[in-house]
Amino acid sequence: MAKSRKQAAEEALELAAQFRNASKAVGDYLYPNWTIISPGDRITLQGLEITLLNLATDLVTQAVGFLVLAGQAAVVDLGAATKTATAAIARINSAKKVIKIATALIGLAASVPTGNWGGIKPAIDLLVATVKTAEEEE
Amino acid sequence: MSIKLIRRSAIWLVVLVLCACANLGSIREFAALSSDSAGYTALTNEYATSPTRLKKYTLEADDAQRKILDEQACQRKAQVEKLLLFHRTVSSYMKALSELSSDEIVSYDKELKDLTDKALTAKYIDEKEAGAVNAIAGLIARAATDFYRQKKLKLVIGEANAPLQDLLAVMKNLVDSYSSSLENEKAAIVLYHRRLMTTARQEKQSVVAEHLWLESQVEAERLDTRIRAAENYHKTISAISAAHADLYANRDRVSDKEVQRQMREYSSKIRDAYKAARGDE
Repeated sequence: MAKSRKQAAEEALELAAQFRNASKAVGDYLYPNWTIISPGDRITLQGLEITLLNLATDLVTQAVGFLVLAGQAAVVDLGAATKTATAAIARINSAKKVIKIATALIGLAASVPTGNWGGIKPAIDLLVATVKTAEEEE
Repeated sequence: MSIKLIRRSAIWLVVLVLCACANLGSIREFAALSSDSAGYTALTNEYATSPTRLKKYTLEADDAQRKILDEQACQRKAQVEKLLLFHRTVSSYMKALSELSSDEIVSYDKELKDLTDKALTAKYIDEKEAGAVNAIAGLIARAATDFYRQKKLKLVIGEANAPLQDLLAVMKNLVDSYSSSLENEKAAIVLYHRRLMTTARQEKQSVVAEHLWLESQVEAERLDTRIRAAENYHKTISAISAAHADLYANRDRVSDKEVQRQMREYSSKIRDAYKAARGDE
């Protein structure tokens, strides 16, 4: 059976831990026994210590790489569910916008019979602004 | 007279029925808290910048190791945008769930008050009629919206659960990776100090060796604090996952008191774990 990306990531992390522990084991041998280890061997062991730790870091980076791939399909599907939710919210809010537009219409309708431009113009402006805001929010 | 009485009773019956609209406050609270928690990116950013931080812990002559660390930093930087997208995707979903569950969305109080005030000013209706519109129309609008809202909540929760559980499982594995990266960082810092301490002791610089030892302990403790933060964030994600799985199982009865109570318990767990994850900063 093909290994899943998550399994590959888990294996990479396990290996990383083993390499890290191996690096620590080299250091645990090297530093307490410094004086009895030849200078050449000290250099070799120090090199090995850092190489093992670098490999551990690379393995963690690889594990994350597998997980990034593993999550991508879920990102798309969850995004779709979020769109369903936001569409429902927008639909509910549009009912409120209808009431706001009706309110602005009443204001305009009430001012027209007066023939008073001083009252009519603000009412028209409010209606236009309310409709424009409603459209922008769609 | 009896017709008036019947009409009045019918109105009160409708009012009583309409008053039984769902209170989804605990779902709103869970979703808002989860949105906030999912947006916590400190551990992700720390993972990406770990190799760069470790350049400080290299010997002056060690150009080769700094080059390796630069390459590692470059590889991790390429991953960061996608990792942050995971946080944003969960956070956005939870924010939408929170909005859909809020009381404000089903309330028409403000809009209807503005409408009746305007109609009153225009003398289209009188005070008594304005009162009736606000009371009854408000309840009818709320009940109709609540019915639609609950139907949509059930659909959204049903649609979201599987991909959300998949993504949260991936995020938990990522947090394990971040912990591993922090453990590597700690090991690299200890290695650096051990080398210097050994050199200092060889040169009979015992005070320098002791100072280096202290510095090593302080740095190790700092990393241990970050590792604990990662463990607490793992718990936060686990609690969000369990809560949504329960919500999914009970999506047909989201307004039940028992479901509401369970969601409050989950919110408490999420809050505590998230607070512990952030408190360690």
